[in-house]
Amino acid sequence: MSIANLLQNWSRYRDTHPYGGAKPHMGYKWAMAIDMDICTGCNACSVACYAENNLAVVGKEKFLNGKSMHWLRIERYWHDTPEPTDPLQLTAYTASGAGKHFPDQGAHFLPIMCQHCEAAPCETVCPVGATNHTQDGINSQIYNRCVGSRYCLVNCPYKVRYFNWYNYQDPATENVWPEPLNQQLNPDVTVRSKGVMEKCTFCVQRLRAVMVDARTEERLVREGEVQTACQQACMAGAISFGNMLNPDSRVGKQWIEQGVNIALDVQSKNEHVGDNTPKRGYRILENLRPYPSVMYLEQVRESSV
Amino acid sequence: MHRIFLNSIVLLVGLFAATASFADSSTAHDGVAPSAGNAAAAAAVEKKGFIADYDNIFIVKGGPEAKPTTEIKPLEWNWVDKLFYNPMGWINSFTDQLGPEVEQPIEFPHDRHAGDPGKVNPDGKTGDGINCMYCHTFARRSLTAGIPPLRKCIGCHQNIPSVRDTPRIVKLFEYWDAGKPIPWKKVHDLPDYVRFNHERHIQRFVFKQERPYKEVCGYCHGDVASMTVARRQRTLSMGFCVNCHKKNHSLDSTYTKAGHGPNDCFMCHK
Ligand code: SF4
Ligand code: SF4
Repeated sequence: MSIANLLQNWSRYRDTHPYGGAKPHMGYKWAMAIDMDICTGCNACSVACYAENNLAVVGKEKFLNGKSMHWLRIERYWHDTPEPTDPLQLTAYTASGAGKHFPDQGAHFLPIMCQHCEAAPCETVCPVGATNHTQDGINSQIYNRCVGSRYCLVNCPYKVRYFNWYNYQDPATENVWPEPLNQQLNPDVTVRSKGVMEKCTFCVQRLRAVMVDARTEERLVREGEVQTACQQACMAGAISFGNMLNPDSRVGKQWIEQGVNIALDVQSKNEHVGDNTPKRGYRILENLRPYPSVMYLEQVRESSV
Repeated sequence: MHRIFLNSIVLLVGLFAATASFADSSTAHDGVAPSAGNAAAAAAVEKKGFIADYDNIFIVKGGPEAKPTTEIKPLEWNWVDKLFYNPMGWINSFTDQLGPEVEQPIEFPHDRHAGDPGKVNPDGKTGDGINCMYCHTFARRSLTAGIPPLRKCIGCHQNIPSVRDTPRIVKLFEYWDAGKPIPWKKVHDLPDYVRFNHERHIQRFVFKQERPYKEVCGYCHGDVASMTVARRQRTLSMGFCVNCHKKNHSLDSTYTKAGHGPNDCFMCHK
């Protein structure tokens, strides 16, 4: 650590998008797959994330002011009328209210957390290098480095970064964890203070715990050895998480099965029209090329209106 | 006094040292693997269709290192850094640079327990040469080294009648009879956002490299065996950690393969 560091370009020390780059993933690439066909939208994952990661419950008023702190949110989409392909029906369609919601037709739920992009837009804009791509393929957020410029929040296409507008651990101002409740805080996770950005970390405290054991035993983390809190809480098993480079991993198999390649922004499965095996895998906003590490599996719809 | 003298020398020499450190740090901090590694990585990509250097996980840059010396010096600041980057460090360099003196409920004599059996302590007694990890048992298998439970003290001391009436042991048994744990205070307290792992350090240096445990613990804790109540000896700042992490250390006692500690923020910060 010297002043020369300050004068040099921080981005030189970042792990960039590793495909073919100078810094390949060293044995690990943590990734996730979420099956929206199984997801019931019960919010258990969101609650689990609150409990695991010391998230502040901000209350209705702050929530409405956009100061929510949920690292994992469930977005709800009512099924709506598909746009008719026949142009003759289009007028009738527009007249009946295009994109009208039909709650009786059901909804689908999109659990959305930090996508741990391989080429994360949030990383390049951080003036102090507080958010980086790590060697094991997660997007880090270093709280003590963060100066709260909130550029990353602006640049994240998924809007999954949350800013600490208040000092939630100070009982004098914000009583988020009044006396007995402070006992519920997870000692492995920092309680963030005012002026710091935060977001899903892929439960890094759990990953590090198993990686240390694995390192001591001179092996890699095995499939099933670690679960994220949201995965653990999901009663339907919609979330799978693991080391994608491990040939045994469920998540790696799912990615291959669905023909989603992490290093591509246009998936070849979309081009094989003749291939009649249904592929449901997709990544959100892939065309922006952040190369996200979370794959979603589309809901299979029974009926169309 | 001699510190002030030393500092003025540092100030003079620093001008030259500063230039040197600029040239230095550009290579020393460079974490990028050499180009041969890139080629191997690219080959791995082609082979697996994935983005990993899956075959080279434990091979880290660097070759065999010389047998290490026992002394690892704390980070040296040059005067440019001291004035502009760490003015407090510069001011602190006029003091003794040790951590605060923590007052413990019982003045625990580390020297009496862990000291060298052949060496006479200031109180006229010799040490017992007990291994640090006899009491701090969790150091080799968890994040924290652990403070021994009261029953561990009692386990030995109920069989040592010769010191039973000394004031400290009397106090110890008062806690035991009252059924209360001793409220020891933390001496080496790291900030909440740091995850320091005792296990990896002990496993690597004591069990893999077979260095003496006193030396290994001493890298961060100083010579505890010569203290009574432990006092912080090192800064335990990030610079102190990184100073060691950027060095190559042998992976085992054969000293043929080397690697360094993680330099990834998210490994130690949480
Ligand atoms: S999803 Fe947003 S916060 Fe997460 S890595 Fe991508 S850009 Fe950054
Ligand atoms: S992986 Fe962990 S931090 Fe991320 S949304 Fe799930 S529970 Fe929250």
